[in-house]
Amino acid sequence: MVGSKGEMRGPGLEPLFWGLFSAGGVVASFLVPVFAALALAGGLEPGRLRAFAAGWPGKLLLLALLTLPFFHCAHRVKHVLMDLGLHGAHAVLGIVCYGGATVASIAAVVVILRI
Amino acid sequence: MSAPAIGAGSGSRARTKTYRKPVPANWWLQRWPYLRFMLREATSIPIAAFLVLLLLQVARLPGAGLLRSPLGIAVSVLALVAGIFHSITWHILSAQIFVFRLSEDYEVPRPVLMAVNFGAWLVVSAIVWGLAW
Amino acid sequence: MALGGELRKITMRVSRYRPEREEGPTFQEYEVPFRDDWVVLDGLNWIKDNVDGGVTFRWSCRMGVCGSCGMTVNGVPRLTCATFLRDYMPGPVVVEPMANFPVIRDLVVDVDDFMEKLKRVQPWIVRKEGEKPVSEGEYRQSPKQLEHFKQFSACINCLLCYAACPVYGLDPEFIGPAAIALAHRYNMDSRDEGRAARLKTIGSNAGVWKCTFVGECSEVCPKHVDPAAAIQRSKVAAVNDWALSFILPRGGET
Repeated sequence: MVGSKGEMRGPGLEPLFWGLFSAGGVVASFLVPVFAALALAGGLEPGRLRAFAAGWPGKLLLLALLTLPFFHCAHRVKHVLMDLGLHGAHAVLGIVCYGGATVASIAAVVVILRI
Repeated sequence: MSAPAIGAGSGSRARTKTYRKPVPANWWLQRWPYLRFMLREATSIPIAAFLVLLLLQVARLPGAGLLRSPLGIAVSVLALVAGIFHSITWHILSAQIFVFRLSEDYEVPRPVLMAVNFGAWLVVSAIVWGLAW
Repeated sequence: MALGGELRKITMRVSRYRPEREEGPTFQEYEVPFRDDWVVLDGLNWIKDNVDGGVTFRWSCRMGVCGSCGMTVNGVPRLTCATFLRDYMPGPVVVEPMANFPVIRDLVVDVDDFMEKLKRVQPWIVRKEGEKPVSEGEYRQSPKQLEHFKQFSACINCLLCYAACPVYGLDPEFIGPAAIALAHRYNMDSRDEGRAARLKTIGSNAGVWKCTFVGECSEVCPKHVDPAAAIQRSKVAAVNDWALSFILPRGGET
């Protein structure tokens, strides 16, 4: 593209999504391995999980884990699909990925606060 | 493009037809660094799957043990591997790119930042583990 | 070294493209004398001097400071003046033009796109009220302040980072690693007041947000500029500016 000036538009909501991706990445980097290990060791079977979520430390951990990392994963999945060639569909991909993350996060907040 | 205008200024704009090599769909398989990048990004898939299962488990409380089902175990294993790969790359990269300047004169050295990142990861994991049992 | 009569050779497969008679590139092989201290550029010059004067490529300083001789060597973006033939023995050494740019001829690519983007990021000291008069003295900067941006000022515009960046390859709208790193270099310069002005370019949809932190730009950079770090730091700064733009009125800063 010789001397392409292109149309430079504002960033739209990209800064927001990148910020959420970043925060979600931090939360995931601290919490996902131990929770996956707990799941394999039987520490998250319903009885224990209920006890874990009964108190506020557990609730807060679950609130962090089941919201921000969804946006982290959504951002990565969206960009991977674009890098694999689905460039043109970026708007649809955004709606599906970030929309999904939003639905999951809202569901998580509702479900956790009900415990 | 028409015949080259020899001597006509206007900088380096090419006067002949240029060739643009198409980027193949499998560009990320051509070199190991690109594949490693894709794998790093792909860790988000098992992690997301695990978190969805965990969310469903929390939603169904007391419900059946979803995470102990064959699917749950498979996803947990994948999420553990993916999660560790994500955590390691994330802690290394954030220590490399983020600058913590405590004063005009003092910038926290990278090895210290990395040690803090990994240390905090260990501490948080231990706390969560303790809370669960 | 060819002492005692033992002459070694190495095969160089060079991409040729002659637009006046070809639709696309083809490879031509040359048996080039191997010398222990020769770099790829030496091999290319030997070909041009002894076999085929029509081989076309850019070079200048031959010591890694001018940024002219960037090409793709065995699939990797490299400065050909800093790439030793001995590291590729027994060969072949495949030499192609830098990836992600239109090829003008043989190993020469069109870099106008980068030149235009470089201008867009305003890679110079920007003062809001204009330069202060000489009578007011020089701009003072401590060595510590210099350290904040020094690494990013080492860029020689060789464009290996653009050749390595898969995002730029897939989406040429992307402002790209070197341009953003240079914008960052000036943003971090204590004498500069142009961050808001540059944000319009690097904070646009074509700027930092297209970067997915593959990191290959920093891996191939011959001057250790680490454009990937510059871009991620710019993302943090841009997020802060974006968030603040909702809270603070848009006055003064253009």
